[in-house]
Amino acid sequence: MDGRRWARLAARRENELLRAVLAAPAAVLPAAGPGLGAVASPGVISDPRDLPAGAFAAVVDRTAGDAARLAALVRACRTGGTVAVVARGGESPDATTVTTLLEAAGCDLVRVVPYDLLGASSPWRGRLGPEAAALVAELDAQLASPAVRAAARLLEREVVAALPPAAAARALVVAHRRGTDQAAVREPSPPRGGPAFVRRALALMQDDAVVRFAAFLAAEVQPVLGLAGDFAAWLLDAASADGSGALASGRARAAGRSWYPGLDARRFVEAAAHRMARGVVGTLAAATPGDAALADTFEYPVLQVCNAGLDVCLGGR
Amino acid sequence: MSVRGVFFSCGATTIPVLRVLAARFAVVVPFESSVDALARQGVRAVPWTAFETPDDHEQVAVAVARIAPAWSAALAHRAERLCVWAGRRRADAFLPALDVLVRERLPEHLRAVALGRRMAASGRLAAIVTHEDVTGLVRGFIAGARAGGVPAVHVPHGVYSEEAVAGADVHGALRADVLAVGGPVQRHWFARRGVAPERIVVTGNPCWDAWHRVRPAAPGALGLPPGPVVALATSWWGGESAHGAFVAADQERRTRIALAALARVQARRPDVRLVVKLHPSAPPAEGERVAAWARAAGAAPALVTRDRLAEVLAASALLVTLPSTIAVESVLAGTPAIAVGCRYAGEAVVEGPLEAEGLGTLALGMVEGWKESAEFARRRRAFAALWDGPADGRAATRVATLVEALAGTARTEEAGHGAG
Repeated sequence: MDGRRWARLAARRENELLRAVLAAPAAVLPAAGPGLGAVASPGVISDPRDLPAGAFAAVVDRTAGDAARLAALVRACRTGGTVAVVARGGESPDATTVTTLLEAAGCDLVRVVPYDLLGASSPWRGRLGPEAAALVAELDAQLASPAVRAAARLLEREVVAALPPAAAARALVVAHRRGTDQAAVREPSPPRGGPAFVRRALALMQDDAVVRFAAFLAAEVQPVLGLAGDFAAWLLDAASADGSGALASGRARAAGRSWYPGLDARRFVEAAAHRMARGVVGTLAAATPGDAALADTFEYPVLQVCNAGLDVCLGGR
Repeated sequence: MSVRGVFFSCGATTIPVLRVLAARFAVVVPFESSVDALARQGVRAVPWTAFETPDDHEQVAVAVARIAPAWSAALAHRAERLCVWAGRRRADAFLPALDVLVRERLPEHLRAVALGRRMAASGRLAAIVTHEDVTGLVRGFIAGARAGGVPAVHVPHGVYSEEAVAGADVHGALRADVLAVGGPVQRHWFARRGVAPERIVVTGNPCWDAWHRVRPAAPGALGLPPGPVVALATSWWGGESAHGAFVAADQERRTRIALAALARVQARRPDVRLVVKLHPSAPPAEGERVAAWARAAGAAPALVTRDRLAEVLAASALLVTLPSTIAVESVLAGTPAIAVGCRYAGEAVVEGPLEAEGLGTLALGMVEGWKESAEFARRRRAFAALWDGPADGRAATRVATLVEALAGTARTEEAGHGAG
C-alpha cells in the first residue's frame, strides 16, 4: 500500500474542481487527461507562452509556475475569462503567492479551494515521521470500503475545502481576467456544515468502517495538522437538529440498529477508545518483543482505562 | 490430582459444562472463591494456585523487574502520540492510569501465563473451557497453556448485538482453538469479525439449556393477584463502557420510555401487573431509581425484583426489555418479548419504537393471547434455532463432548511435577 487509493480519490477531486471552471474554448496545461470531459485542448503545448493571446475562455495550469508562466496564462485568457492554477502545499509558489502573482498579472481572485488533505505531498504526510508508511498503508486499507471513500469525498468537499490552503497538498486558485466593464466578484465561501451535509455525514456514520475512519482522522490527522475540533461534540450537536437523522435512520435500520440522537457520538468514542487501546497494547508489545502474548492480555483493562480517560475528555457530555 | 484436569473460567456458559465434565475430569478454577461456590453445589474443584511452586513466584518477580520498567518507559515515550482527543495531545488524561494498570496487574498476568505453561508442561491439563476470553488472566492462562499444546474452547455468552459496537470490539477475536457458539446468529457475528468458520462450532448455549424447561405459570406464582403480568427488564451496561455519560442517559431514556408505555397499558388495562426485573449487576440504588421513574411515568409496579428471573418469565405474558440477553432467554422460556429500540435476528423478539405511545400500543396488543398463539410458537421455534442452534436443552452435553474430543488431542505424558 502506498497511498494509491487516496491518490485516485484526490485525482477525481481535482477533475471535479477543474470541470467546474472549464468553459470552451479552454486550455489545460499539461494536456487534459481523462476525467475532464471534452476539452478544447491546445494540443501538446506545455508552455503557456506558446498559447495564442486572448484565445481561451478558460486557462487551467496544473503546474503552478513562476511569475512569467502565470503572466503567460493570463495573457492567453480572454478578458473576463477564467484562469485556474493548481498550487501545491509546501512548494513554491504556494496558493498565497499564486494569488498575488495572478492579481499582479491582471486578475481578480474568485476563490481558493484546498484539496488532497492526505496526499503524497501533503503537510500531513510530511510531518508523519517514521510511522508514515504504516499510516499511509492503513489509510489505503480503510479506503477499500466504498463507504469510507464516500466519507473521504465528503470530507474533501465540505471540510478540506474550508481549511487554510496550507493544510492540504494542493489548492485550486481560481481568478478572472480583468478587462470587462463588470469587475469580477470574489465568491463568498460556500456555507459549510449545512443540513444536507449533516444528514449525509450522519448517514455515512452508520457504517462501522466510516466510524473507524473518523477515529483514524481524529487520532492521526487532526493533531498532526494542529486542527482543533471535537467530532464527538459535533455529532451530538448535529444529531439534535430536527430531521438530521432522516438518512441515518434508514441506514441504521438496514444495519440492524435503531438510530437516535447521540448514538453516532457513542460509536465514534468507542472506536476512538479501541484505537487508542490497540496503540497502547502495540506499544507494550514492541517494548518487550518476546512478550507480545503478555501485552495482548492487557487489551481489555487498557480499553477500560481508555474509556475512562475519554470520559474525562468528554467532560460529562 | 490423580486424573487429568480441565480448567474452567467460571461463568454462565461454562458452569453447566463443568457439571457434566466433573465426573470424568478434575475441575480446575482460577479462584478460591470459585472452589467454595462450587463446593456448595456439590462439585469438587481445585484452584489453579495449587499448581504454583516457589520457582514460579521467583520467575514472575524477575519478569516483573524486567518488563515493568520497559513498559512504563515505552508508554511515557509514546503517550503524547497515542493519547489524543479533539485534536489535542492528552497524555495527562491517560498515562497515569495506564502506568498504574501495568504496574499493578503485571504480576498477576505473568502468574497466569506461568500457570498455563506449568500445567501444560505437567501433562495433567486436558483442556481449557472459557466463559469469556477477554479478561487478562484468562487470556494469559490460555496463552501459556496453548503454547504447551493444551486445546482451549471458548463458550461465549453475550449476545453481541450491533447496537453500538463499531466493529472493533475486544470480543471479536478468538484466543482459544475452538469457539462453541449458541447458534447461527452468533456464528455469523464472529465470522464477520474474521474468526475462521472452521473454528466455530454451533452447539447451543449451555446457559440457556434450562430455559427450554420453563413451563408457563400463573401470576400467583409471583404472589400477584390475577391479571396478565408484563415484565420490564432494565439493563446495566456498566461504568466501564465507552462514553459513560451517554450510556447512562441512554439507559435512563429507554427505561423511562418503557415505563411511560406501560403506564399507558395499565391505564387501558388496570388488571395488568407490572413486574420490574432489575439487572443482576445493577447497583443497589437502581431499584429506588427505577421506582421513582415509574412513579413519574404513572406506572404502578406490583413487584420490583433483582432475581427470580425464571419465575418472572414463566408468569409473564410479555417482557419489555432494553438490549440484553434476557430477550433471547424470554423467548426460549416461551414468553414474547419487545426490545426497546433494538432489533434481534428472527421474528420472535419484536423491535419496539423509542417512543411511549407507539410502544404502549404495541405492548397492549401483545398482552392477551399472543403468548399462547400458534404464530408466536412458530416464531419462537425459528428464533430458537437462530440463537440456540439445536435448541434442545442439551448444549452443555454437546460442549462437553467437544471438549472431550479436543482433550484427546492434548499431550498426556506425566511430567512429574505440579500439584498431585
